[in-house]
Amino acid sequence: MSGAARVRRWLPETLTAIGLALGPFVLPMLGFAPDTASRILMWGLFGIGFDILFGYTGLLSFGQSAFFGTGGFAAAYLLTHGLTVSVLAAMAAGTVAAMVAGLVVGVIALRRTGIYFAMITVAIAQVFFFVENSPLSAWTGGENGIPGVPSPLFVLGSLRWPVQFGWSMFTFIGICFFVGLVIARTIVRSPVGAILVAIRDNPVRAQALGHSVGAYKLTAFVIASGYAGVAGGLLGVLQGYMPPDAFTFDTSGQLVMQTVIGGAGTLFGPLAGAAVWLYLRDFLQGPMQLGSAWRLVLGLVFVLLVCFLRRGLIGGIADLIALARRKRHVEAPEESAPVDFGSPTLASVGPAARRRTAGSHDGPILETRDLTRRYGGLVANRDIDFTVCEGELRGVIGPNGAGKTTFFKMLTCEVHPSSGRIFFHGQDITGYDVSRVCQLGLTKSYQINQLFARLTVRQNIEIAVLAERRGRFRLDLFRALHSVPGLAVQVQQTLALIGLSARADVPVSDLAYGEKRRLEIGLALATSPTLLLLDEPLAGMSPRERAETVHLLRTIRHGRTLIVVEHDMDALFELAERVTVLHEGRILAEGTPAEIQRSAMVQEAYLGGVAAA
Amino acid sequence: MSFLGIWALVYGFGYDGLICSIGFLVGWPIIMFLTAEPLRNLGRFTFADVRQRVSARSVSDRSAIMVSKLITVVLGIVAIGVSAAAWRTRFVMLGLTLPQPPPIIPIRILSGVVRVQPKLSPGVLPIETLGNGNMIDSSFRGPPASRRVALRSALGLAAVAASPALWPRIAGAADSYPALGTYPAGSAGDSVFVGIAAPRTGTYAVPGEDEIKGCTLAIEHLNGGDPLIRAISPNTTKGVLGKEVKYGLADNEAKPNTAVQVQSRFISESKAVMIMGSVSSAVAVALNKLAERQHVIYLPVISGSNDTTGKDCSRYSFRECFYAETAANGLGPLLIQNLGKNKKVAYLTPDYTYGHTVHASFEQVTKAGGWTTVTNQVCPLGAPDYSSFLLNIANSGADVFININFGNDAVQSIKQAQQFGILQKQTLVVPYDTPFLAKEVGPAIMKGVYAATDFWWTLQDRFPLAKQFVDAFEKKYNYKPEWGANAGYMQVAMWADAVERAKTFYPPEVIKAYEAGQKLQSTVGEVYFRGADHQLVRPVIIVRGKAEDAMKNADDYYDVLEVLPGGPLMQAPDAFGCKLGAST
Amino acid sequence: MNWPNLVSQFFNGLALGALLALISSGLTIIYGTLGVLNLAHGAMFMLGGYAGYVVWTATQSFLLAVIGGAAFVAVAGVVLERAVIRHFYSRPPEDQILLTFGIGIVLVELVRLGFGGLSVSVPPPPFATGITQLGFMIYPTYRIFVMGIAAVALIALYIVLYRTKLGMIVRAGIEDSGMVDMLGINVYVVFMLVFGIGAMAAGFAGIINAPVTAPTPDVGDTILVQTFVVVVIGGIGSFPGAVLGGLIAGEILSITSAFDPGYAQVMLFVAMTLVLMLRPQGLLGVRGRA
Repeated sequence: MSGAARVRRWLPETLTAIGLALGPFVLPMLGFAPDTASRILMWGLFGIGFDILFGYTGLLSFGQSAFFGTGGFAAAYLLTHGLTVSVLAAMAAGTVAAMVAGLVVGVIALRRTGIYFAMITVAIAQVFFFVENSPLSAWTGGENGIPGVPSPLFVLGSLRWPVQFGWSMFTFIGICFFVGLVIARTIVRSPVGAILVAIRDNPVRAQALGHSVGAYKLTAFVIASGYAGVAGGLLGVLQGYMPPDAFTFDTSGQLVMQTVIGGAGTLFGPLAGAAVWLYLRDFLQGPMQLGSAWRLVLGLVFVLLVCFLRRGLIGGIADLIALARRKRHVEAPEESAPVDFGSPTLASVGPAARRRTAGSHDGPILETRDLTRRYGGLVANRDIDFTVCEGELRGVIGPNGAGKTTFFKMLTCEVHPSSGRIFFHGQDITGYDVSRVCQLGLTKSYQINQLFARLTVRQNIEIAVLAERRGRFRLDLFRALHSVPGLAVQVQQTLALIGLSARADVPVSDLAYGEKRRLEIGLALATSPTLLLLDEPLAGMSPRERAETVHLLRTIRHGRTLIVVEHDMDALFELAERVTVLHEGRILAEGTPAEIQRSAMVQEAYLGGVAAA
Repeated sequence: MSFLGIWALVYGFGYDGLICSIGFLVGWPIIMFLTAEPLRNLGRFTFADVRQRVSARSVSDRSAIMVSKLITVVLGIVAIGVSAAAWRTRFVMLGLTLPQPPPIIPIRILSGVVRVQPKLSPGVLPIETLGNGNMIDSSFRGPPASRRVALRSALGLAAVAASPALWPRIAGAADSYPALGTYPAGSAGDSVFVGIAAPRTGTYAVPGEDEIKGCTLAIEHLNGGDPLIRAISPNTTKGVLGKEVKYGLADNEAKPNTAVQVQSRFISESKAVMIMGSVSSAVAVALNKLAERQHVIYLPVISGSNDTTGKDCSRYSFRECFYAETAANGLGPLLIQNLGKNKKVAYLTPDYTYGHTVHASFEQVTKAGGWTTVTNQVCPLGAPDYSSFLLNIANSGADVFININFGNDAVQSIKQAQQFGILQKQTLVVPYDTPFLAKEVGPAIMKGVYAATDFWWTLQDRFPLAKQFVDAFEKKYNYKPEWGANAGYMQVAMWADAVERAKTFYPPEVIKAYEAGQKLQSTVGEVYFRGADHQLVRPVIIVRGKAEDAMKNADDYYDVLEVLPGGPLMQAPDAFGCKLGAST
Repeated sequence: MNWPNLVSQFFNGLALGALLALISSGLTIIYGTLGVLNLAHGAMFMLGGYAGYVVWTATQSFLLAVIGGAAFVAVAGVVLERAVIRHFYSRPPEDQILLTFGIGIVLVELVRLGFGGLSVSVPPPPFATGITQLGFMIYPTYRIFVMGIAAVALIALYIVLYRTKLGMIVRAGIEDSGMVDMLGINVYVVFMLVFGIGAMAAGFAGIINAPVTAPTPDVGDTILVQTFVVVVIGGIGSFPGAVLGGLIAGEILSITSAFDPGYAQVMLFVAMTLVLMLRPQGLLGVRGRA
């Protein structure tokens, strides 16, 4: 990394450090009391974890109070019952307790997504509150909370730093915040961080590219719990009192609102949100004399931000900076330029650095036996025996409703067959998870683009390459993304192969349709599959884009096995060596393009299909 | 809308509002001139276009959109703030809420020197601090610090306000003790600040308001040198040590966390020399610890738990009122005597320190009469519906129903118990009387019900100071004070006495004065603080509900049966594990 | 623990469950049709109580209070849907959740601003005051009345959903809103009506429950969480699921209370967790939705 880049990388941290160091001198002049300023930092730290969960991974949890309280009460209990005198040790123990709680809750809550996930987290947080309040009241003090939490005292040789209420408490929490921020920014810039963002954008595709989405979500959840635990411990230390309110739904709600006001997905958003929240609270109640109506004002602000500035205050500013920066760079072309695919030698080197599965297998690369899939009474596929040999380019056609899509989904294990078996390189993969199948070297490009829409082209490809480089799941939280061996090279090669090198840093949302289609194929290619399934790669393209894509398919077939579902018969018959015809969920015919074109059975099926439609 | 708002501002703040509105009218065009030009140059959009054109490609257009978005939101926030203030005013004027007025509203434009009488009818205050937040009623003779914050923030004169000349001058304290807590910063000027937080929302709001009235009446008397205060605190002339007492009010929602937050702010921002107020013992216990840590005197007002001066006692905290143990020792024998021996008892206990200690003390005391507990229903604070608990009690076969709930919880649970037919079969006992209970549930239910309480207004027939207090309170607030008001009043008065005797605000000296065990006159006769646990030794009042036809006037709900001297009812100071911390 | 108490608590559970079922059915049909999880549903419940209170203070008629309260909340729901929520149909579910969460707060705080933080009380109607002897237990008459009226409201809702054209469209919409759209039905009008009806169910429950538990601005919070549990247990989007879930939740709360009231809420969430583990789509839910 160059010096300038290094400076830029650490700029936010440096600015934060300077800001925190100046805080005790500047903030009083702005009218902030140390208590308020410390609380803002505490909420900011709490929010960093939540931002990783919500802003980066896209999981909206209303249950963070559970971990906030768990961490806080564990730390407070240890400190007030003389089990440890070290505040840091108690907070560490509280954090671990919160993370364990997060792990258990995550395993349950992450079984569902979206609104279910939100509702479950609400309910689980309630359970924590009631458990704290009733069965565990002997330890937590129930409704009373735990009073008398001591402040930290740091002794180094003859140096004593007693942290007391006031600006020294601010400094202590500031240091905690800074450490938390550095860790969070490291995580966000790690391969795991990149994958979390991908999961937020498109969990289905992240899974299909070979990432264990569930494990990564759980990671994010546990990280968020850890941050909540630290913040909870700080709350007790800050107030000298650990309140039962820490466990209530209000705490979670406030966290969510602060994060959204400040801007999710920025790490600094929660801090800004907390500052706005606490400052407005004091300002509206004090000078503005609004009494309890301050919550109304904050509620309205929140609704307005959700409606109009979804990325919050910091997000808005960050967008502005990004825009200003991009302005200086090349203006993006409005339309997709004609593609030069580069030299075929480079392309053929490509990401085809393929892996062989353990044990060489001489039979067909893919084989299905009696594959059947029922939906209730409806049979989508029935008794399909299908074999593809290594290096083949197989076409699959069939009229609408023939069961092509279900068949493809079963091959990549997105849908599990009702009966029958699937063998890949001779290995029985029936019932495997889609990400495992992808790791074995079998993946597919989708009929409808499944891209990571908020990322750039390069980032999209990186997500795919990471799966191949790192396996389904790896906890390299503190490794920089660009230090993953071979990542840059493979991304470059894939970009060259699909002809998007010049557009690498353009957000996917700005791509032309044809470019998106090529990226769609590129995503699948980047995982270095030995068997690539293409679901209608030419769908919806203009003639020129179609020609480009056909060219692309010709290029990538070198050294790979391809199965293509396509409606465009001309293109398919031109490309494929053999063609399989599906009809009413069964295999109707199989043969060379010429044989298929001649087959009366096939013609009848298509005509019949047309007549029926 | 804005003109309505301005009108409301003028109405509410008088001159202050006028200045504010002029500032607004002058400032608005300037802001518009400043923002319109660059906006127009940036892109070809009006605000209305922005939402339709979010998908626009051009970079400069996008930044224009983003800027306009930001400006919209920022302006929106400001506008909402202003119009919400106006709204509040309008609500009040429509008569939708009728909060009580503070007598003086200072002009907050420049330095808070000028004060004007609000142009409002009595009983109406433009802006009131009802609600659940952690508000500071700083409009009412707020301390210099918060007034400055008000000024700064309202007008945005940050630069002016930030100049060091405006910061409190700590040097030059009158006496020479080391700095501790808010000493000497809090008492350096010619006034001192007292933070009062009580529940003004939620289940304890009614006793909370009563308590606040008692506290503020006492401060008013203190600043005016009223004879009643001087009867309790003989060294008082006017104010405390010649300094005017100012105060801030806040809603602690009866939640410990909120209470700790608002009182922390009173201490750190307003340099409070004393903080007070509680209806929930959980709040009292939490603030006990806060006081000790911050080295600021804390005075709980209503707190019935043994723990407040027991295992959670604090060197910095002093309790006036009666509590679980004295209530049980006072009422228990009387119950056994009147209701008979070997009774089966059902308890309804709120789930926190107050409820648990009252239950434990009563169970212990009534054991002597062979009373047994058949069920103890522990219910959460502020439960809306008691049906499950009450069904268990109804089916428990108990003879006596001891309802420990407090505040609105007591009112609701007793009313619902009536609906579930419990009161026909079981004798209701209220071990720790809730202010206004009899008034809210009515004499039909309260007839013959035994209760222990702290103060009842008919004590004016026995104690001259009680009469003075009841008269002064009723004159100001138009109703008979309940015991929370009395406790609040007494706490302020006794604090003034301790400070006067200590001759300094330096907390350890004030504590010493408290601990000296000085006998004081009170509204319930002679009282004194026990130095070992900081509990006031004072009588417990045993009352019994009157039948409706026996009531002499609308407020005559109780017969005062006994005024039991407190000393014999109290446990040994260390029996509940009280260990006072160090005072420095 | 004894048998008469268990029977009493069972009965009490029915009363509680009927009310929960009514509120939850509102939440569930809104989600089922619009795909929006309405976190402002608790606020609708609260709003019903207060609207009823206002009508009651003006007219002293309980009947008018119920009608007025429910109508007001229905109108409020329609306005809300038209003004704000419809713009969010195409946004991700997280945005919808945040939006309705914010709206809920605004509504609660508006009410707090207007009526203060103390509870307001609406007395039960004269014909339903007093105590009823049920033989095995004594029960407040009004609570029996609440149980009855909640059951009637549920039946009315059932009739609307299963016996009218609107209901048919709504149920079809729950199955496949795209299909309904293609059939040339103006789904947006349907959405508006459904949101109004769903909100009204909560508001109606709010006003008939007002004499039992005096409404405060925060009364909806606990209710909202309990409704979540109900719909998760019953299966979100399923009307029969909401009714079944409501009754189950009511019984869990009450029966646990017979042993130890402190564990009632915990048991509710334990039940929900069990359902999620064993049958994630809910007891009467259909797999594949959500």
